[in-house]
Amino acid sequence: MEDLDIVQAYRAHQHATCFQILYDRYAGKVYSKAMTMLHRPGEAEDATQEIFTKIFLSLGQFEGQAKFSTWIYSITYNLCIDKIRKSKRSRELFASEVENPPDTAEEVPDEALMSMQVNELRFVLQQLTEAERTLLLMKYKDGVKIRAIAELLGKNESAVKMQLKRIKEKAKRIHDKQFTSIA
Amino acid sequence: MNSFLALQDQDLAAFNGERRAGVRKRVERELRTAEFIASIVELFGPVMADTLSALSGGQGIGADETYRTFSASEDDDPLGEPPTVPTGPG
Repeated sequence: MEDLDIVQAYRAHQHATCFQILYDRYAGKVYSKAMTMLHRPGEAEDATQEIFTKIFLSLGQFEGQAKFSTWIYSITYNLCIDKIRKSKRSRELFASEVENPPDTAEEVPDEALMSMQVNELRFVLQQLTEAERTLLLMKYKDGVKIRAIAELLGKNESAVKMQLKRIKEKAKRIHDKQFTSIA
Repeated sequence: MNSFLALQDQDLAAFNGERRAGVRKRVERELRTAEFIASIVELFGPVMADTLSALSGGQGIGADETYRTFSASEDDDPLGEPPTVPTGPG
């Protein structure tokens, strides 16, 4: 059954089954995306709860022009960004100034990050700043396009690309220092 | 396997079971509360608005007892026949 059919059925009857189906379909994905942004399981859970409440209270505003999943993810990211803005962690994530000057080093290929072991990746992510971690996870875990990231964070695309380039370099450097030098 | 996808799988696995069900219950509770509040507002909202209007010096909806009925307003038709004058006895 398509999402739109279930949404329409929920709007008409507010049936618990429709709620259950939509929740089962998207709860994990919403939680995973909230983890990308907020990094803490407790906060991600609270955000998931708020997001689903918001989704079901504003189902009437969903017009079906975009995919239901896209609508849900935009609510998810916007709510998480609101949470970050309200917290003291927002300065770094939304800063348009970049601390380090651009370097001319060759770009680290995506495969270099994707081929890491999960425990290695976790270690690398822990060494990054929150903003760096968020950007990297949005791009490679959630598959958000550069343009969408730029829109969400209120930056331009080239700034996001440059930041990602630097973060990948830093991640590779951390990884090599910790795991490759031993071998 | 892409390590980022493996990371996502681990996030999803961590959110299964009780945690997932717990969040669902909390969402359901919030939705029920919102529905209850909405029904209260729907039920008592007009009365409250009327009361506030009356308190601020306006005229409450219920105060106007001179509503014209549909049949009475039919006589307002400018092109229609004038209403017949009732004839009294004698």
